[in-house]
Amino acid sequence: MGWVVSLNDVAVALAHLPQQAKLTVLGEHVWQVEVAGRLAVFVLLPNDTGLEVWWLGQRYELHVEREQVHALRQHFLVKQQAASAGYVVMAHMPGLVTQVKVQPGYEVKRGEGMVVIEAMKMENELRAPRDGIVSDLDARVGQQVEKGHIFCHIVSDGD
Amino acid sequence: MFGKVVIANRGEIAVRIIQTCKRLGIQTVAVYSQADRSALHVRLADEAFEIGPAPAAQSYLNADKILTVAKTSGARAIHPGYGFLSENDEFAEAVEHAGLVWVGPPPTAMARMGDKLVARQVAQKAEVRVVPGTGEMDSADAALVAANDMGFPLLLKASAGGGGKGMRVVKSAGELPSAFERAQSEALRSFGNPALYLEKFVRRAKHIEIQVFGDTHGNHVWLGERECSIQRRHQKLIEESPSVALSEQVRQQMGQAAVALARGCGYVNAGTVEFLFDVDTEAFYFLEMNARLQVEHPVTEMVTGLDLVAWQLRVAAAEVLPLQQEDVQCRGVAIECRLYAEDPLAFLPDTGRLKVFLPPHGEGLRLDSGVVQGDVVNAYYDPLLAKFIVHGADRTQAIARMRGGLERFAVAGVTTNLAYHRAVMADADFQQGRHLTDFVDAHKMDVSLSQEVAQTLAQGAAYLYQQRQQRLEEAFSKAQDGWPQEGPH
Repeated sequence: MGWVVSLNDVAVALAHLPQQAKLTVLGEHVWQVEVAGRLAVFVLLPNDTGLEVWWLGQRYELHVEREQVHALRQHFLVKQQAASAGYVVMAHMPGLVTQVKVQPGYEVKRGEGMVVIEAMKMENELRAPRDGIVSDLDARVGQQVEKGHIFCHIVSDGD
Repeated sequence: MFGKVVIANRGEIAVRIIQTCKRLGIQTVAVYSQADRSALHVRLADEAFEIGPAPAAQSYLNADKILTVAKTSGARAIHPGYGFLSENDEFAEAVEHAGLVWVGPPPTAMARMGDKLVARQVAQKAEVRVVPGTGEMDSADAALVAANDMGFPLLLKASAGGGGKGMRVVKSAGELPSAFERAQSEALRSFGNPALYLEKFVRRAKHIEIQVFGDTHGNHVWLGERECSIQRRHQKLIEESPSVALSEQVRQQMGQAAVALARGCGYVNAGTVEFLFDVDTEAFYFLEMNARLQVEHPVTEMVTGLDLVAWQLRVAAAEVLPLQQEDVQCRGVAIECRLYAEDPLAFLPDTGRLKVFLPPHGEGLRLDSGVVQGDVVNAYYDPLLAKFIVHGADRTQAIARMRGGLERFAVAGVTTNLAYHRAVMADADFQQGRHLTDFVDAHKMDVSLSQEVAQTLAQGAAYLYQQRQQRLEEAFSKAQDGWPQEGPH
């Protein structure tokens, strides 16, 4: 039974976990690995759920698991993603809410402007990801939001 | 030369100015907002004064507070850096009125260049071609009438604009009303002036700019060009000098046009004359003049071997320009990548603590950084963290050095656009110099983790993962050993 090492959704299958590795410490949490003449510099940091890898400025959740465990986790992940796709309007950056164009119960069309947020002097209009009714609205002018803040859900009869 | 200078800015440019001041034996006074109490520029300056809450309008744009700091500290001059108050001619005037030296152009020249519509007139007077365009548009309806005459696509621009704010590409009449509204509100918010105008959109163009310098004795020189075609949201991402697109003849014409324009408005100190270069006709059009030190000035420094901040201070102290035109020499190729705290796909900003910030070292590499490891990146200011600059004997070497450097740059805790820059360095069109101003939209960069790199990372990460598991297990069993198994004997 093999192993799967995954960095977000990029999975690498390994027959065995490596018993050795050509690693150089470049700094605290910073490593350089060499495999078959190829070099990669990365950061490995512990977080709340395990470990994360940072490579070229981006974060990747690290999972080292048995094949079956990996398959099982993928199964639930796919279901979860399908359940939430397009159903929420979320802040993709931290910022200040400068305009709210909808109210709870409003019927929106796909692509319609809903909320405008401003960060670092940049305005960003969030549009409806699909047709539906605005519910659970959590957006008001002057509100400071974090990245990932959910402004509202868009529900439809089909849900 | 001045004994003491106030630096009315933050981030990498404040740090950059402090470094030159230290080299010239000038005392430095930093100003900072409550969000920047422990920022790098505050730690490096000889003195530092808090000037207000985090929002820029209440701190870095608070002219009165900054003037008070200058008086309290006994400074002789104010260096504004770029952004914030740097292009505010009323502030420059207030500085001079307070008996201080403004390290920048005369307020009159700033006022003329600061208004893009006036700047276009100045250019025309100096016989420099401008992009065909309109005067000020009062309303979206008026703009629509003019736009239908000009034809689409076109550019909607803020008269007081800069840094891409209040600017929109409009592809069709249907897009105009909402673009007008958005650009107007952005212009009002960013510059306190909602005036907009329309400009023809040159489809196959490069953005090329000339660094100019003037002194108070009537001398003007130009220090080569910079190509800044790679922009997102009309903000530059990658700059280089020289531009691969210019023949020596066009380069000379452009340089002379820039100097003519600087002379025409009585320009003193550092300035940048921006041109749009039509690659099909090799015609160049004046876009605007930036009356300040430019973010991308290091690429000029790398090819000329000059310190432009030192030049600014010398000129402000009424010294003669250190070089004449025939003594200016450009050597090799320099490229700058702006390291932004933003994701490399949608270019949306990220915030947080820089848990790791470990830049690479090597021949021909330079980093102008406003942050160090452990610093917190907040949402109040521009997401520019640092500028990574390389120099090479030729463009191929410079690109290779940049790519290698980016791959060795370790940042964690805040998402940065390193992967975008690396993808551009590997792009065939960029390598062959065919990149145009539409590059970011036209070339979707693949910034995803490839299976090949993932396999390399997996070996290292899985090995370290096991070691960590082992340590955790050992620690756990040791902790268990510590428990008394039986009662006391």
